[in-house]
Amino acid sequence: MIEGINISKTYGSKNVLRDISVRIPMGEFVAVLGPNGAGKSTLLKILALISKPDSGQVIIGDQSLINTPGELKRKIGIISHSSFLYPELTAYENLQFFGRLYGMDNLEAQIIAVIKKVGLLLALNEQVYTFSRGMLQRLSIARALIHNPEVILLDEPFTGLDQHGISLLQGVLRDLKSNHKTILMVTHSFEDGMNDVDRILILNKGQIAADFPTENLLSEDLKRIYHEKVAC
Amino acid sequence: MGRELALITTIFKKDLVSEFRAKESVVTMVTFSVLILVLFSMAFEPSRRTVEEILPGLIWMSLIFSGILGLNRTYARERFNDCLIGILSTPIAPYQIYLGKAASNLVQLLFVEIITFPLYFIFYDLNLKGSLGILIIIMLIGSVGFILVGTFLAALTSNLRANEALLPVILFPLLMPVLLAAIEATSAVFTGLSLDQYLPWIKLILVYDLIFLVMPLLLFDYLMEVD
Ligand SMILES: Nc1ncnc2c1ncn2[C@@H]1O[C@H](COP(=O)(O)OP(=O)(O)O)[C@@H](O)[C@H]1O
Ligand SMILES: [Mg+2]
Repeated sequence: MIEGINISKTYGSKNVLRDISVRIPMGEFVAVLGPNGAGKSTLLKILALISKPDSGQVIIGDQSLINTPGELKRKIGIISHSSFLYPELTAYENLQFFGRLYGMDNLEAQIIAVIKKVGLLLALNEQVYTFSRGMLQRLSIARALIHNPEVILLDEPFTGLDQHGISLLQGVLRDLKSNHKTILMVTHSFEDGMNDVDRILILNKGQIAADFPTENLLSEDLKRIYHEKVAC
Repeated sequence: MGRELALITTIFKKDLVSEFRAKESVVTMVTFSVLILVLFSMAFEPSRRTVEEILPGLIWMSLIFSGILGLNRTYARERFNDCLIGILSTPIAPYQIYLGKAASNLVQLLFVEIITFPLYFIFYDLNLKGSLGILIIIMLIGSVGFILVGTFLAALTSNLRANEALLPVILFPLLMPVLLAAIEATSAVFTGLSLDQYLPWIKLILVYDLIFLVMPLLLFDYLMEVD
């Protein structure tokens, strides 16, 4: 479960987020759509506890008031169009680095397990600068999941991927969902990764313009609703 | 405490490993320092007297300029691939990032010093009148002060445009106390003054080190905040 309550954020005189509240129950997969500059990435960074809101509160899991921000961050994994990987380090070293930052025990076994899952076992000891775009993406997924987070936040993860990368990421998302992970994905595509989405939020000018389930929703309906809400 | 130290060490090791693999700053730093010392030794044929007078300043200035080359790289490496956002999404506290990076920058600078220092003795035909042990201590604590301030300010300027040019401009005024004290103390060891004559300079360096160890710990959370 992840929840943002009455979140506001301004940059200078610009209101990027205006009193936004979102709640994603455990196991739900929510997509956030919206035009460029709507505040999607800002919202995601606030939910990931990377950036502080001017006002409002983020709750993750059940006992947010007891946990320190550090403890809460352990429950979150983020995947973005940036890889967050160090080119000079090997795949193994990158995962080891982030695993250590999460204070994980039994790290080596975890690294092997997660690297197998994304199919990079053979490249384990190669430096990341030699990786293709597709390999980078797999490793960045492994990086985000190394500590087995409850909540996965994704910021336009399909940007720049070829067809193969798209289907790989879709498989990962399906997998996460069947493991009852809570997922929030920022996207600007009406198709990529939308198959398993339960609910769609449309963010426009820092406010939630629409919030509706995807059940029985046709792709044409989605486009129509989106253009209605965003055009104004 | 053990956990915190482990996080700091994790950053430290990561930075050192990627730096020594990429060889970007260390090689530039060493080359720069060696060039300076060779050029100066050729530019004016120094007599023994002038050597003792200018050399301490020359050593520290070349160290600081080559150090700045390295400092500019520390956060640039984190911006590439947005790694800093990756780090900040983990439980590590910003001051732990700072300490890990400062330690790594210090090791790189000391590496440069170990390579270039003997060359000063060769190129300038220097014979040290004071104690080598004390000279090493002065180099060490002076470097610590420089790196602590430098790592702190590099975090500040890395957020700004034109950061590479900006760092020296804001760093130098802040470095003045430690730089002058280090030059004075180094010069005193060269000329063989007795310790109590330059002990105040050493104390000044230590106080400076302490201030810039503590101050960034208090402020670094704000510096590392991602907007
Ligand atoms: N660090 C920042 N400083 C100033 N303005 C920012 C910053 N980050 C984002 N913004 C502004 O906030 C608005 C929303 O940005 P963002 O959340 O990245 O939008 P989106 O991801 O929906 O495209 C944009 O107008 C952007 O220019
Ligand atoms: Mg964005």
